[in-house]
Amino acid sequence: MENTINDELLTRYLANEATASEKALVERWIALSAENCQYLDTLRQAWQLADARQTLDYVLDEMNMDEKWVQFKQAGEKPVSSKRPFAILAAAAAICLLMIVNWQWIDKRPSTNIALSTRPALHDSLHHATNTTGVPMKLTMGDGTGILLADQSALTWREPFTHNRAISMTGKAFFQVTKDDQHPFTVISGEITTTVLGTGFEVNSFHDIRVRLYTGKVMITSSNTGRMKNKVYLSPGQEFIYGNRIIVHSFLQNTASATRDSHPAEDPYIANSEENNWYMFNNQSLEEVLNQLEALYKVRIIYNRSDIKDIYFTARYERTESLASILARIAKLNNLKMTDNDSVMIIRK
Amino acid sequence: MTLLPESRQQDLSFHDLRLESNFETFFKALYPQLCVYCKIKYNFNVHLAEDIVNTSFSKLWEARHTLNPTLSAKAYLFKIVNNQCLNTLKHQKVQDQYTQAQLNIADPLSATDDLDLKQLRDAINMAIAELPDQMRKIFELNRHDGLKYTEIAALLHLSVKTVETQMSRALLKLRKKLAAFIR
Repeated sequence: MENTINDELLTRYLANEATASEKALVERWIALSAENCQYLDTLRQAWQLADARQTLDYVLDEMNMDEKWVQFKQAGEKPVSSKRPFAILAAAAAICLLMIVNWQWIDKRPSTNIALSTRPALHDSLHHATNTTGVPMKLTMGDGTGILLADQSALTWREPFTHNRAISMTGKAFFQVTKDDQHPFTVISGEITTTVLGTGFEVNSFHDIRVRLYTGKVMITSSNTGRMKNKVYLSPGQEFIYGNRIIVHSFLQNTASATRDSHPAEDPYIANSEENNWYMFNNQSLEEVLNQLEALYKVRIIYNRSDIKDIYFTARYERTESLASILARIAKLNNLKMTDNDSVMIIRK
Repeated sequence: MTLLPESRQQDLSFHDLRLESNFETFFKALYPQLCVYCKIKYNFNVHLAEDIVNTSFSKLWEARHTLNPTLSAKAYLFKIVNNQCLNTLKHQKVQDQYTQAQLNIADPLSATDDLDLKQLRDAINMAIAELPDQMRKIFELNRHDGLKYTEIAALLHLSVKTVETQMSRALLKLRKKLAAFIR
């Protein structure tokens, strides 16, 4: 070996601790001879073996091959990767995504080719896009979805995309999603999977993964069921934070929409224990919320189920707050009318 | 977790694969192995590895009727996985020349690489456990906990130079202990 090259430097190089000039030095040294290249390669193999422990633990202890086979058989029909329980490997990466769904695109969507739906179920292939150009890069998917991929960001998906609208993402991207009820649009970032249910939202993360919802609805699931076992549905104005704690709170100032820094969304119903002078609803259906308020205040609340269908709600209230003011806020947020009839409350469209 | 105990029995011909139950057995036996390969040869995370492995099995599924029925399906599968991995690296437009150079090395994966995953895990755990205490601590703080050299030095009240030396010695020891898995 040359004077300037030693094992410490090569180890630093593998550990990504080398300076730019040291890297250049190592790379020049590798280019000098096949032996040099081979020498570093054996070190790198040892390095990667040591790093493979997490993967081995996952493969040996958690991987369910019956499940993998079923997923494989269904590939091409459905997103195979949307519920994959992979280990926490992407945690260190800054993950950030901006997603907007454009409802106007519904009718402009190119009609799906019939030939496509008759293709063999397993006919799909993996595609990647990586942007290192320094400026955002424009992409258009097979289903018409437009993507603006930020610098230092990457996407992975399967073709035909119209069949299997799942995208794995690192970095930051802006999506204009074409609506298609038959094929859910899914973005996977680390452990967190966000499924578009017809919506405008932003997923943004630095150390944590964050999902911000502006309009419509999204469903969030985690592959790490030990941390988060239930699905989380967001209402407009809510932000989901998947960090040290799992939090759902309102990100819009001046909206009565919800709480700030509420509790983890682990359990959709946070018990209203006696010692607390507040209680909260965590992504519960409005029906559940109204039923609980009814029990809590011992006042009859009348509503038409179809009027409040598909409305989910997160909020924290002080016990001292009156039922009328709570209901008024709920009504206002969801474009409902509230009538205070002394002994009964009426909620309707 | 289904893994054929005897890895040598995993290979099948294309003729065998035409029976779906054989394909299923083959899939279940090789899927975990290939995921681990993508990690130890290309440093791909599980997510990416599984995508590559799934795509490769899809290609095998499509080809199983058209290829010579006497050929080894396993050799063909390893070839596909290898090509998928290389394509992925190329798509990543990796800047560093070492990785580029690695693309030109012909034999990163081959069907002869039969490997008992449990044995591999035990060997790696053992190799790391056998490092001297201080060295192991430094190595784990870097590899397991992702701390930078300077952070480890500060945490353990050591000089950065000591951390460098210990990291490098740890790596050399691991290379020696894991030589059976290194080519």
